[in-house]
Amino acid sequence: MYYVDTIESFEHWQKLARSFIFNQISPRDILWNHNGQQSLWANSNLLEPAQKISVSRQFIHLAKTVACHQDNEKWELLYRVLYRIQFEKKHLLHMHHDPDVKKLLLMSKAIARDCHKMKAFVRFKEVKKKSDCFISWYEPDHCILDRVTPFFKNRFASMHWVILTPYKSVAWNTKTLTWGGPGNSSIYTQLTDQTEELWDIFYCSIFNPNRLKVKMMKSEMPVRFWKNLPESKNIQSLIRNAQHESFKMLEQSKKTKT
Amino acid sequence: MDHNRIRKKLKILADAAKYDASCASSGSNRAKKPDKNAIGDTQSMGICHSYTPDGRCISLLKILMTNYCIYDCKFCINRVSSNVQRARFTPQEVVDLTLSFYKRNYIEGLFLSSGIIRSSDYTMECLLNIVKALRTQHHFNGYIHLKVIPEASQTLIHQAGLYADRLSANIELPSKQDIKQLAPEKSITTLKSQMLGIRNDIIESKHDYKTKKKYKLPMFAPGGQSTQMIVGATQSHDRSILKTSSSMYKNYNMRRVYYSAFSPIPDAHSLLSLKKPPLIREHRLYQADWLLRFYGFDVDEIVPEDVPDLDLNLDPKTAWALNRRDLFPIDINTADKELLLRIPGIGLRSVQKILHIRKYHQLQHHDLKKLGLAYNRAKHFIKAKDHLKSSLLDHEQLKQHLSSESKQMELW
Ligand code: SF4
Repeated sequence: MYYVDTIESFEHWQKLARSFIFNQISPRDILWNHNGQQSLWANSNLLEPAQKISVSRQFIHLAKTVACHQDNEKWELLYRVLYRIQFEKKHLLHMHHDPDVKKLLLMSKAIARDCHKMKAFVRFKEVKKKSDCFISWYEPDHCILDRVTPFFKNRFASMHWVILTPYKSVAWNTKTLTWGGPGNSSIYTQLTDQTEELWDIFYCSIFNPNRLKVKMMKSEMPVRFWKNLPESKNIQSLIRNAQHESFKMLEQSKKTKT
Repeated sequence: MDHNRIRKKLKILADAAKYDASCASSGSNRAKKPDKNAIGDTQSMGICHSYTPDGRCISLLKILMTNYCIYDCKFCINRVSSNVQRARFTPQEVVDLTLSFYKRNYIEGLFLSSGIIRSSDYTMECLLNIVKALRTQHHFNGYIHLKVIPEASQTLIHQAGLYADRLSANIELPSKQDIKQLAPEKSITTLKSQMLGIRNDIIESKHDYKTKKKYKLPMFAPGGQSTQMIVGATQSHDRSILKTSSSMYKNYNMRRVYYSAFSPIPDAHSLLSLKKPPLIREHRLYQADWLLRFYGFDVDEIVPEDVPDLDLNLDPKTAWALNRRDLFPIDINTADKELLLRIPGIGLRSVQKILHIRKYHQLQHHDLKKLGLAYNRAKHFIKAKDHLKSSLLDHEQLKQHLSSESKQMELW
């Protein structure tokens, strides 16, 4: 049996996985995430040193994505799939009905969705004293800040901005990125940005009370994200008034008709 | 930015814009010169930054420059005879709003439309100047969707396309008679020549871009053109709507046709019926539109002459399949792609997966359940390696069964 301590990064996993594969160690003989007291590294030291192995690009891409997942079972799953690709089924990744592959794809989908939502739902507030300097607090479901940062860097290249998340932070000064530790929401929540009021007005005016479809909204914009979306404070009252508004409109139109 | 002044206008001019459905920002790949002052970019996929309780996505700052209008289109809240409050943004106000929303990551860009003031060309020119200012003075690289004003000249449209990612001229209603009745000042002939002009400019620009060096030329509307049709304001059948859409796709390379369920508006014209917007019909039309564009269906197959409206209880593919029982069951392991695409409950992606898997493995029923397709619908129409025990239902039973299933499944 081989025991593996907490995996710190994709590269860490990759190094171990390489030597396990090279030595043809079955996934059944490895215990991942074993944070036991005994140092069990002795076992893995018996292995031949890590060597590069050839793996499909598709797998590497998938593995790097899934590595961001917050579920630590991912390392074990990744190794099992890698092992099966190497020694059992070369085309395993095409077998979407296979339980391991299915799980891996679901995890990768969750990451893609989380990245997409972060690109959509980050809200910057302007720091008043320094105009064109913006700050945001965001709580992603997974560890995706590294993956999403290039998007913000590209889009807001000429602005100064900071994005804080509960596990990591990043700042951009129009030239370089600086990474930092866990952020704190208080700076962000205390800041007021007047433009938010205009955004609220827009949000409320663009809504059509005749087409109320709350479930649809919630499936695309899950409630757990609402707390950091300034516009969400209007949702309850918009829904409450919608029936009334819609009725008023129909009544009004009837009057004009007669 | 003067917030007090803008507040009131924004309320009026966003409210006036909400009935235009054609606002989803889609992808656009405008070639850009490197520019260190630039703000924004576009991606191959637009992002929905928020959702309102009507379930619609907010991707763009959707506003009118003004809701004054000299035309009198009966379905429109901004028509000259409507008794609504009017307002007009200055170009600077539109620019400021766009930039300050964009910098806070509220939006992907701007969707700018307008009522017609003075003349079509005057209005088009005002819109043109706003987008020109955003692009050139303010280095704005986000997405811009610009409405083409009815009757505006081709020269102005041509210039607009050099700044906008997408252009749209709205057909609004499916038939000539409908337009005559509800939008008497609009000419369908001019509209179609506008669309044709846009199509040709896009083709030419793409060709230039391919053959000449990158960055040399601004691209013309790289996000393509789209149009919108209002559903339920007149008696027109779905067949007439879909025929029009299909000709839009074929003749004008339309990227999208948007369907907008006619929604009661304040101070509505007396010609219009007062009902809740037909949302399910709108949904079915989108599904049918999808079948036309990606599944190789023809309008006549989906809404034949003798049944000119879509079944509201069933998705159009299932409805079609029920009438073509002779084609089924289709063998999942041997049928070619075109046929697989016609199986109810199986979408484009699932077809791709099936094609991949069956190279190495003969699919069974339980495999299909794991592919994330609507197996409970699909199972009635397929053959897999193993046999399904339950006997096939007869036509009426199956129809009822699937209708009730579809009621439970969708978000309505
Ligand atoms: S021209 Fe446009 S804004 Fe004016 S009434 Fe007709 S649809 Fe409305």
